[in-house]
Amino acid sequence: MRILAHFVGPVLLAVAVGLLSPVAAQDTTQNVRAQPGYVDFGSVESWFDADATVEINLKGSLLNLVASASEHSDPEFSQLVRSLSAIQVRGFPTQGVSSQVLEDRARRLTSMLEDQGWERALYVQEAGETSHIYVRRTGEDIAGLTLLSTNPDSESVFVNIVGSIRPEQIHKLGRELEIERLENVETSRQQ
Amino acid sequence: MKRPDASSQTEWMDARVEAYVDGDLPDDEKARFEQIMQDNDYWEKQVNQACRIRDSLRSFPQPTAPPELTQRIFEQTSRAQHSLPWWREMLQSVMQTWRAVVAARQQPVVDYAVGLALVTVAIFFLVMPFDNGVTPNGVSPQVSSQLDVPITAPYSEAEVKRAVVKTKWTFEHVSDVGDQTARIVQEEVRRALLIPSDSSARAAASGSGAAARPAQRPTP
Amino acid sequence: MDEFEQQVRQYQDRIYGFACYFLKDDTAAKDVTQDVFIKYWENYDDIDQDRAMGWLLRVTRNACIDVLRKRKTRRKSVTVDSENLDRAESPQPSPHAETEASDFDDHLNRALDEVDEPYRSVVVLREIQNMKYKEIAETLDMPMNTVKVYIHRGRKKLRKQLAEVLDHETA
Repeated sequence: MRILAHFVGPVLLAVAVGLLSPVAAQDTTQNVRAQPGYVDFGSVESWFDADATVEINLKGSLLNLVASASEHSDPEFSQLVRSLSAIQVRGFPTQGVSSQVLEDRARRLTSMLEDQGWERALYVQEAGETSHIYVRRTGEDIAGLTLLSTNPDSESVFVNIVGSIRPEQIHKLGRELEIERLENVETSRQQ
Repeated sequence: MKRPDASSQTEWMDARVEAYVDGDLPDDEKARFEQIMQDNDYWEKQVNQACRIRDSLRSFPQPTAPPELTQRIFEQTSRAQHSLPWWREMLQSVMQTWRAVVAARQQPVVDYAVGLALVTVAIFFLVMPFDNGVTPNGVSPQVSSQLDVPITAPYSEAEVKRAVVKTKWTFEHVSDVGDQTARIVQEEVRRALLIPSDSSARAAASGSGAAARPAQRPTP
Repeated sequence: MDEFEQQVRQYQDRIYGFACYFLKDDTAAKDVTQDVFIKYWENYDDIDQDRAMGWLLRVTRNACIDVLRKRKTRRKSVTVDSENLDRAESPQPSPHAETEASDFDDHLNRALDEVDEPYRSVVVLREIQNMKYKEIAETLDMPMNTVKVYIHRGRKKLRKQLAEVLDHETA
């Protein structure tokens, strides 16, 4: 009995290890694309002739590492990131692009989102600048958030956040963060 | 050969030369591309150049790893292998054998379940006190010092830091857009309810007559 | 160990080849290849063997990018170990055509050095190492459309850089 009792701890630890297996993590990477809140930006990129000025691709284990790295310095940020599966951002310059082309692109993206079951949460236009916010629900929860903001004198930015999202949490955290300006043409590292 | 004017058509064409060469253009774009190319030799030349580049790249030789490199890899890993205690060597051998059996049977669920059991055994041995102090990382110091990444993941500390910055930037951007839209909606609601905004109230008080710029009505 | 040895022999040429074309430095490519396989061995039990090639290429790419970052200045000229990178020749080249082809390939190799990430990786994997779009997409964890777009943009950058060389040849 003492020998069996000696195994209880290691067995429980093994179960935890098994659940956190890197193999499972690799499968999670592939499953991100299957999540309802995920948007394939591959087709979006082909609409633009110019190179992206901003590119962010964070998924799976790298996001987990982001959460772990911030656990002590910023627990609220860490907790939010842990609930996410992926963050994608693309930014493209808009100087020299006609307003008609910008509208067409926005319309293509919003049509694509609506065809996939996304709901428009907000559309605002002011002085030529437009912002669309779409959410993807699963039941009562939000599984994804997509934002398209276009400034005709600067850039179009597409943001897709996948995971269990509470938008007020993102907004609150965004206000508190002091971030250095991203370097141009950030290239993403893949996992 | 006519040089095309700098125009959006030039940019449109220039962005699609390689896709045309690879046959990746949608039918309508391909038709338009060919129409323009027919009228202008410049684009036919660009297509030929793109073909030349692609074909040359595809003819580049495949380097072969020199034998001494293979030998070094085996030496390093063999040295680390022999520095392992006997129970780890046995465990690795069992894992390899089991993996081969399960791959043949194609039953990943069984593999996972039995792997879990084997992990249990491994964890048991790992938590037992051993005083030989040997770790799996007993690799020769001859390993190149150019790599400095953590062992458990292909991400370096610098990459994780960059990822933290990117994540925070994304949240800030979303928050900025949220703030902007909230402000616009607030102004619109005020306008609809005929409530003066702070700026127009101040303007009225100062007598300048300047009014806040009204936001466009959002589409329903 | 036998299975590991078998996989080293199976994958080493591709890993080494990728590092060679990425870094344009045979010595650095050997170091990276060695380190990648040692890391592979250390994580061997944790890696899904069906995705080993993707894992190896990802780690190699990351290691190559780290090497480039640590270099203080970018290379402006190619130093290629000709022992391993003999240029392919056309079946029946004329002497003039053969010289022209090798000159152009040298220019192309140098131009490839000027192509930034992520375009360089996808161009090397697709055009030189002949990987399929799907394989590249899985290796670099990109949508397939993005892989195609990046390949086209990478080759477009090469075309722009080689415009003068190509114009001179046809003149």
